[in-house]
Amino acid sequence: MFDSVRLNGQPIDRAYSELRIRNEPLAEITQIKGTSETHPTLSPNDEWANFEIMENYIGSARKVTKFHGGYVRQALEDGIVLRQTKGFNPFKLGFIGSSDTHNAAPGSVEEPNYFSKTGRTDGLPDLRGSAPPKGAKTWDGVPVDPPGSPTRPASQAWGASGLAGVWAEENSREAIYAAMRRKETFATSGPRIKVRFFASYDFPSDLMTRADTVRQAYARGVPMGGDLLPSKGKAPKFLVWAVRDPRSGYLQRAQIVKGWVENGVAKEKVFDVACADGLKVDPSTSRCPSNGATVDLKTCQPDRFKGDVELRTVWTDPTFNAKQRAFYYVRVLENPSCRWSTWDALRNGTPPNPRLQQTIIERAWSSPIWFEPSA
Amino acid sequence: MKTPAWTTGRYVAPALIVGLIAGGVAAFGAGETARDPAKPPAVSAAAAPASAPTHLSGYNADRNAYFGDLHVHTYLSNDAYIFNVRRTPDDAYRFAKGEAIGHAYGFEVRLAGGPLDFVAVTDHSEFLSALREAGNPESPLSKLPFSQGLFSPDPAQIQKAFDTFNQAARNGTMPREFNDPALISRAWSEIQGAAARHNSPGRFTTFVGYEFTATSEGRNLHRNVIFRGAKVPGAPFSSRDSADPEDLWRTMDGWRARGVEALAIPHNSNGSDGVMFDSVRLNGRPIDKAYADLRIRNEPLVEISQTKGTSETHPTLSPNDEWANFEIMEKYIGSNRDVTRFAGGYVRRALQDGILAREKLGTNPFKLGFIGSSDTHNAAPGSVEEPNYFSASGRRAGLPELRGSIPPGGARTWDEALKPGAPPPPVQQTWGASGLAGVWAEENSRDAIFAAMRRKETFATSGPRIRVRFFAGYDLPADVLTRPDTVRQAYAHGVPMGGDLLPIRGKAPKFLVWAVRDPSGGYLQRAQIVKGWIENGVAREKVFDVACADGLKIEPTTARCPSNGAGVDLKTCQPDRFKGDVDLRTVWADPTFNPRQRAFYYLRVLENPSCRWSTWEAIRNGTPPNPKLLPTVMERAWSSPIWFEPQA
Repeated sequence: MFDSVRLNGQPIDRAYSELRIRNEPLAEITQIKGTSETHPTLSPNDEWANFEIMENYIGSARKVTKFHGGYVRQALEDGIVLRQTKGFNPFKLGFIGSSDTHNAAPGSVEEPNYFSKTGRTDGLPDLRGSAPPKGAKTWDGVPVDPPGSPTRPASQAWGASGLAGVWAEENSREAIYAAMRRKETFATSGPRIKVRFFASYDFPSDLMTRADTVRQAYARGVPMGGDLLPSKGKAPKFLVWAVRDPRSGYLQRAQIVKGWVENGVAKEKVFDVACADGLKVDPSTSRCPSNGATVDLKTCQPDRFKGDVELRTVWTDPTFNAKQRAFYYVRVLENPSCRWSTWDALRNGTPPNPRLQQTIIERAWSSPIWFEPSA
Repeated sequence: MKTPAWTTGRYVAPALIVGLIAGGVAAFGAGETARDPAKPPAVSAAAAPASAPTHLSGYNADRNAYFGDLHVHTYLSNDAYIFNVRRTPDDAYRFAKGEAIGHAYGFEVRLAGGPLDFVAVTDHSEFLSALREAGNPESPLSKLPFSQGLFSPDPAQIQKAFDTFNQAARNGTMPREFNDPALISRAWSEIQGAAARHNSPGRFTTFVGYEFTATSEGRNLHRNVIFRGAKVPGAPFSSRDSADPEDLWRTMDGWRARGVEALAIPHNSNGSDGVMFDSVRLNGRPIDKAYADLRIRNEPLVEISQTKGTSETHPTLSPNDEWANFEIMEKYIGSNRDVTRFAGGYVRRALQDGILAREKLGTNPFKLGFIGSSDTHNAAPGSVEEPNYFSASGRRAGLPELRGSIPPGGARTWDEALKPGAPPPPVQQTWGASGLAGVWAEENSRDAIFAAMRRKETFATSGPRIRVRFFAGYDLPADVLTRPDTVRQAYAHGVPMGGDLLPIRGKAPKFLVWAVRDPSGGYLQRAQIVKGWIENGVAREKVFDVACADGLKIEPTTARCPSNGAGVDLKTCQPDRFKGDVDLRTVWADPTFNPRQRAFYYLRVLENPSCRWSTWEAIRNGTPPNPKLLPTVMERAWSSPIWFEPQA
């Protein structure tokens, strides 16, 4: 998808890049058939990379062999390296999520109310691997492999994920389309988490507490999807603001994912920037301490007293280098909650499929802001 | 549904849209800006300062629905304190914003739904904070013999001491140390300080307030006094100053003359034994025009639903209203004494008496808009969620057994508890998880919300955040329901809830009804218009179904929707998910309209049945629901009325 060669075998060039980015400003980074933000092998230092990873070809049991070029974070990194070395960025992508439902059921990405997405082929729990086949009450004797066998439906690896978020003045084609064009969009794994992200050199010091936070942020900064140009001798600040979905879990942390070019090589790092429950980011690890939130797997009730309704901060990049091309995006994590397959199992009165993760951490991703050192 | 007409300012306010559903009305989701969205500003060190704001973030000329709680007690109320509540006004605001706080029993409590938009802390002004002071071992009050027992480890001792305290408060024999004005002053400052700290224009509004806790021989005449701004009197005017609400209103007139704007909101008329909306004054004289003017100037609203019962109407007053029997509480407040008189204690009847008084006196003393609120004594605004209910009075009702939802003493059945001669059940079992205030305001600020309350553009709900719109007009466009500017047309060609509809010769009005469910609540089953009118000098009432869910049609002879058949699984409390609608909308013409008859109309919207809090608790306890209680409720919303006023 994000390869360095074209389908015709020739390397990508400026014309290709311009053609592509003119027509493809966005990427659908999460949907039922897996999340394409990043892969654990591509981001080994990202503890949350292993989220609804789907490693098969689409509509096939064939295994994916190459992750590079298939995941968006790496594509963003490749894009800024190309911009640095060749002057064009074919992968300057904003983010959305969507369901890919084949049931004519938009938004059907709710964990406790999931019915998969391909009609009759995965319409019942045993067909999607959340209940043992043939009415069995245990998973004993259910073969682990081979992939593609009736006992291991591909759809068990699918996630109840993918919503598109946009920031627009009104609910109209024009306004929403314009937001998509300018990449003022975000993706969520299903919950309607709202996430704001701005970068600026001149935020007022009381930005977060004043009544016109967002107006100030627009007036003095760029929103998600935008370009931050350099300002000699100044380092940017980043406004991060996330609000939970009242029908979903509480927020545990907000993170900024940074990718940059250092000596011609792309690097990446995940910074925790705001912690729930009054916890503080440990500067040596850039991580919030665990808030200890858990889920009761017997009932799928999450811990109701951990996590925050809202996370807000103004962050400064401790590694900012005005000469390094970079991108920044926000990732916001909820407390753990039951995966759809655990809900299915609970209702079926059988143990959750031991080959599947029982809980997930729902999340939202803002579109990136690109720091563009030279015009 | 064309969502933006509800929640976003289509002229000015950038709003959040997730998927296909518009975001909420929080400031976070919208911010007015003059910036051309197609052209992000170039960012440089010399970025121009933001222009002066004209409106707050989230401003909407078509008005947003905001939800709040205007009846909240903290540890500053003596009854809350004696119930072991130690949560402060600051804690109350934190709870409303979605944080967890500690309950008097030691466990944590937190709203399950979203944060509220506005809150007033309204502690009892009589001997405000006296027990908090007496409970402080450093305070001289704690040394008084009178204070001993109040903080005993033995609940019976506490109750005895508190009864003595209340007795002394009633007959004026409180030790003089409790009359120290510095006590009230400290607490009043704490209330104002917390309101100032948490008021955040565009995001969260606080109001300074208090409760005027007057009774007349035990009959409830309580009011909450809500101040528009930070400018408030040096101390509350309490029922110790005078137990006659007329004196409160005259005092409020005096404040107003000094620029201190406030309104009073009566509540628990259900516990007034008919005196809240009586035709005689407390001094025994009949109500007159001066009384009506004084009253309505200061009391434009009534709290029609709260934890201690719903006061819309009573089944005996409205025998033809099949939904009248909703969270009815038939006791005096804080007592086991039975109410004997329902007329004068319920709002629908008061509205009828009001239009009769209008004919006779020329002023309507009961021209009341509606709100609901919790009356929480746990400093827990908005804690009226059925599956997440912990009652309203601290330790006294803090466990299911104490509120009658599970059998006492760990029993697994109700057999013993219901035997003749068994101890009487706790009165709290008849309390409802009910009461939220809704307002239609341009933005989330003290001024905008207070103005909405003044013009009665308010509504009440039994807990869910159902949004209801209600307009009347003669010239609503024929396509008003389907065009994108429905609400703007309705404002331009009609009056909203709380308003007066004047007659136009030869024309009959139409009514725009629009209700949207709370996504965290149930689906909507029907919308109704409740009409009251005068016919031959007698007040009449009728409930019209005006919109049915599930494509059902109103039966014209009965003015009723057929049942949609929605049920609840009482083993799990799961409601039927496939019956009922997300939104109900119609334009209605009154088939009985008579331009010579004074009338009022208000909207009531019903959800499908869902489990009552007591049923949720029974399920969690693994015991049968209390057979003396209804297992399900039909959550609902009520708009403020529109009055048809034949002569100006």
